Amino acid sequence: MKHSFQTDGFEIVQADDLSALTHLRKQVRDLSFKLLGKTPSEVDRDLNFLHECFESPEAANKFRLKLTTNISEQIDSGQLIYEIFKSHLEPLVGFDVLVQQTPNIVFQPPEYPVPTELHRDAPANSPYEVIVWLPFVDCFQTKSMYVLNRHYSQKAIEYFSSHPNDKKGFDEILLEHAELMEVPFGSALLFWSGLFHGSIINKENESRLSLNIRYKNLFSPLGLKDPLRYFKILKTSPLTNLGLDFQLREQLE
Amino acid sequence: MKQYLGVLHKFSEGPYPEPGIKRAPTLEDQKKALNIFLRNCNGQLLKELVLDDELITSQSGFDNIVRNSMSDGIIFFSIESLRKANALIDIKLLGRLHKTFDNIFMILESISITSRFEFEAIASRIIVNNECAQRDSSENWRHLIQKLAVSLDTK
Repeated sequence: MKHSFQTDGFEIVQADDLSALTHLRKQVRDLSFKLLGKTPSEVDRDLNFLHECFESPEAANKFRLKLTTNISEQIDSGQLIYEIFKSHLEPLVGFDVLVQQTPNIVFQPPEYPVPTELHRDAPANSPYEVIVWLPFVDCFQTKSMYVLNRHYSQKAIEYFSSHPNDKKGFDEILLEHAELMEVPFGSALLFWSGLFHGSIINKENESRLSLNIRYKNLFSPLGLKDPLRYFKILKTSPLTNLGLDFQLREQLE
Repeated sequence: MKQYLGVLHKFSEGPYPEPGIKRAPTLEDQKKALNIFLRNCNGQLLKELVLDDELITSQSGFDNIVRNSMSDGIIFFSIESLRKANALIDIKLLGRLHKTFDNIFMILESISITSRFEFEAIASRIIVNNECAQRDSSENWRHLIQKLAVSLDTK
């Protein structure tokens, strides 16, 4: 079933530039294998079976943290991903765009005991943010993540407000309505920051390596997270440049 | 070796406003961070100043200290030290600091101002954030958003 961002709060979209995405994936594989001191072979296989390089969940997490630093230092992923999915992102965030400074890297090997707990980003993030969830391998079933669409995210909030101590009832809404996303490599899940989402233990026999990054309009309302620390400017329109230059001079006089 | 005036921030007591952060860094934590940062860029702290709400709102006190400082640069733990009582970042004060010092650093926000270009880039972002914060907290904006939300809901 095709979802719409406006109605459901999420959408699975195809890359505008698959070759750029394929190149990004290769860069991520190369960085991973350099960190691990391993010789790379075929990209898809290397990433799907990345778990074979680790003996413990702790070692896998340590690797993830190092990879996050390496990617943020060596790849301008905010710019690249924006360009790769531009035709889908631009209608959402416009021409004056902020991007998360450091993307989050998620590594979920099979049976990894720490999936992403159910949560929503907004609040504390701004409800005017879009999250790009970009897998570097085909993601399906438990190897993927789940979301509660806009309608059921709202229902869940309402239920929680009226039954704050009924975790069971809340979990029932979740179990019944959460959708596991099928996101093949070459596409991305775009979802709104107000949606509940998370993941469960990966019961497939392949690893999931994915990246998530947030975009918002420069002028949209701020969340509680410090915008100077959390975001950087990706681009501004010529009109905004003139306005900013004007205000800068006026305010510093 | 360049000499820096360090500014530590006296965070208000109680929980840190940003979710996910357990506690505000202590003055000792901040001083340690300033020293590590400066060691990596061949600088040293000439003296440090603890900035609290009183000093920043009176401003003349802070400006005097800055004017009499013999340092090459100023290093803040956080831009929070430039926040005025109305919750906006004091862009004019940042402008005066830029005129006084070759280098301005803010550790928490990874801000480094060592040129006019860098100053303008940071100042523009602060202006936008100030404008958005001011707009977001205004009654007019709240009314507009409510009206828009209702009209979208009934479409």
